[in-house]
Amino acid sequence: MNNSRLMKLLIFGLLVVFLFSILPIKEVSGLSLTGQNKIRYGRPAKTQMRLSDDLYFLENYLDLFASFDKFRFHVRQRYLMPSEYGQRLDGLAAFDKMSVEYQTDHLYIKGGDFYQEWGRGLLLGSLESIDLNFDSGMEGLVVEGDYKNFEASIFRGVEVDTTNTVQEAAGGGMLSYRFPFGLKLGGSLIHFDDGLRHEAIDRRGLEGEYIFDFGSAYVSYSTDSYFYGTYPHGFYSALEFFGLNWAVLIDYKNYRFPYYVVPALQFPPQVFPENIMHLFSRNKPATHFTNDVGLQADLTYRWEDWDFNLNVNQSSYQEKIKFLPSLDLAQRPFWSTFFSAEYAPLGKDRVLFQGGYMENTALNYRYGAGVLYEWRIPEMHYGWRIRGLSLTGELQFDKYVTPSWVDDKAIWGAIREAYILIGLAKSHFGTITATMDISNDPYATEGARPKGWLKSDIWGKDMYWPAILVTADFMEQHQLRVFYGYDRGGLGCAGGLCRWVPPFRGIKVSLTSQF
Amino acid sequence: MTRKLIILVLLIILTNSHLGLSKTAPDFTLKDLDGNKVKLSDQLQKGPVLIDFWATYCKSCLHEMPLLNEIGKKYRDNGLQILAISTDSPKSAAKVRPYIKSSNYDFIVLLDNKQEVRRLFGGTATPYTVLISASGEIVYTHLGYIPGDEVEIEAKVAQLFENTSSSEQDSSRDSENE
Repeated sequence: MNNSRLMKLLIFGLLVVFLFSILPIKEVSGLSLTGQNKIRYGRPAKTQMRLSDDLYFLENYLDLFASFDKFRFHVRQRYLMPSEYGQRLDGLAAFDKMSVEYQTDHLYIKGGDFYQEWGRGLLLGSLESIDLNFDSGMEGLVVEGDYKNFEASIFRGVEVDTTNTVQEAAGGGMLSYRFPFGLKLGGSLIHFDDGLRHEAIDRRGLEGEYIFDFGSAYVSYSTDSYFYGTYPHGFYSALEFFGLNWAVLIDYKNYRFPYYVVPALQFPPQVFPENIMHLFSRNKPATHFTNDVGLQADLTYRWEDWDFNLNVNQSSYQEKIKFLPSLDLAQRPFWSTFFSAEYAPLGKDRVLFQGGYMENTALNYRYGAGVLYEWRIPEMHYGWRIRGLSLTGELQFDKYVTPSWVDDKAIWGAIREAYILIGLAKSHFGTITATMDISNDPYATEGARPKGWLKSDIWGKDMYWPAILVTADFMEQHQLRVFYGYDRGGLGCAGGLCRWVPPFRGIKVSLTSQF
Repeated sequence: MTRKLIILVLLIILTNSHLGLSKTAPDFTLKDLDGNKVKLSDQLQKGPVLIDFWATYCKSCLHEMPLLNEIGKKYRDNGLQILAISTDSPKSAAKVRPYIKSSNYDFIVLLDNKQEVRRLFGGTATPYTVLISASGEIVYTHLGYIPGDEVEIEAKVAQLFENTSSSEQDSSRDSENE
């Protein structure tokens, strides 16, 4: 696409926004016009590393919605020049998402681009994360309806992920019934076919949910039929119990299928905590499912102004279907324990203690702990009143122990890491946060290795990755974020969707607007 | 390219600055934790609605929620409704109910696992707060949470009720004059 056409499309998009703001149709009763825009820009520092040069990106997402009576329209103009983590797409995917919806109390019809998830993503999962450049949305038609205690849904669509060269076609239906005593049972049938990566699949699914006074139970099961036969596919369950100040969640996954026939439209639950300390979060085990079995127990307890959380997780790969994770090294067993204790009286200073242990393949293990203190600075008067200020300090340490093998003997080496954060924030105004990553990992982040002066020998060949993040809110509708410095990279996750984030050194800017 | 980017940013800011925040809230229907449908327009008949888009993996959301719950308690008798809309994807959906049920929150919790309603209201991240008057006008939006934000959110809620009562007084005065 040439630059002239590119600019015309951008100007058209802005014109639409401008018209939204001035036209009298805004005042038409029942008509609602909403939208958002997000610009993301990154420029790596000058470096001889080719990898870093490639990390330049410029993205713009403009979404516009119009709602009137039972109808809703959506259009998105997307500009990737190129994208950050996706394939290096150059150019404008103009108006690549459009949809029309019609909704009454018992009927929902959507044509155009849509996302659909059944069985918590195990049976069907198409989703999007702009921040991770991930999109497995579909283009087609979806119809949903309910009658008394019955609910039905059918869809037909083609995956329109611009980063994939192969598109997945899918179509199917689900019927469920909710019994008066809290039990809901459903069954589904979906046909997947991408014509290249995998055989055509007919997936039969079952879903059940039972909600009772002090908890709930959820089960999802799928089995796939291929040309060559039937394959046991996936099972996920979640059991929850709760009281006045406590809750227990036990969820379990058992996924078994050949990796080469995974439909693109499937993202089952990962059964792993996401909200853990930075040094662990960045080094989580691969959370994309393959042939694995795992379970997680998550306990929350509240006592006065204290919140306690304990999470225990165990998983392994499996060659044959097994009920519990294996301890066999060949199956790469993994287990972890995380805890946190937070003292957070309402509207006052907050202190957080957290720590944990992760063991991977029974050979490498990582343990660490951290503390965070958030001080709400009292109101100050210096001729004028200053309020809403808070100062946050955080310190984390961890140690990663891994063996190297010499003559069949393990020599245990340790890598030490630390993470320091200092942040100043003013409510409804913005934040300024400085972070420092420290590690003596000799294999760390080749793509953004710190400069020579950013080294010391406290632990032995330590390296430092400093960064500053500034956010500013203005005009109640805009938020500007500027990152400058080093990002070591690692696993980035948002809402259960994880992606390897490459190391980066330079500046990143994003501007988010609502209108 | 840099020049184009700067022009793009400035144009968007300029066009947005004309928009103001007073506009009609789009209606929506979502399910609550027990599978019951909840419609925004039905809630607005009871009074103003404060929507909080949140997720279990969003730390600042979890810090903001108890403070919003207090605002909800304070203005409940005035008719304020709080809708806490979880944007957890199915991958983390199992954590929503245990968190809410063990926290003893008073507000209604809805599930927006496809994040369609959040996008509809212009939200690109969580937490995202939207205040809607009883007449269905969006009067305030705020993205993110910084300690102390709750003070301004409460001020906006209080201001909304003040404006409502003063406009009611004006209309009753007008009718008396007639």
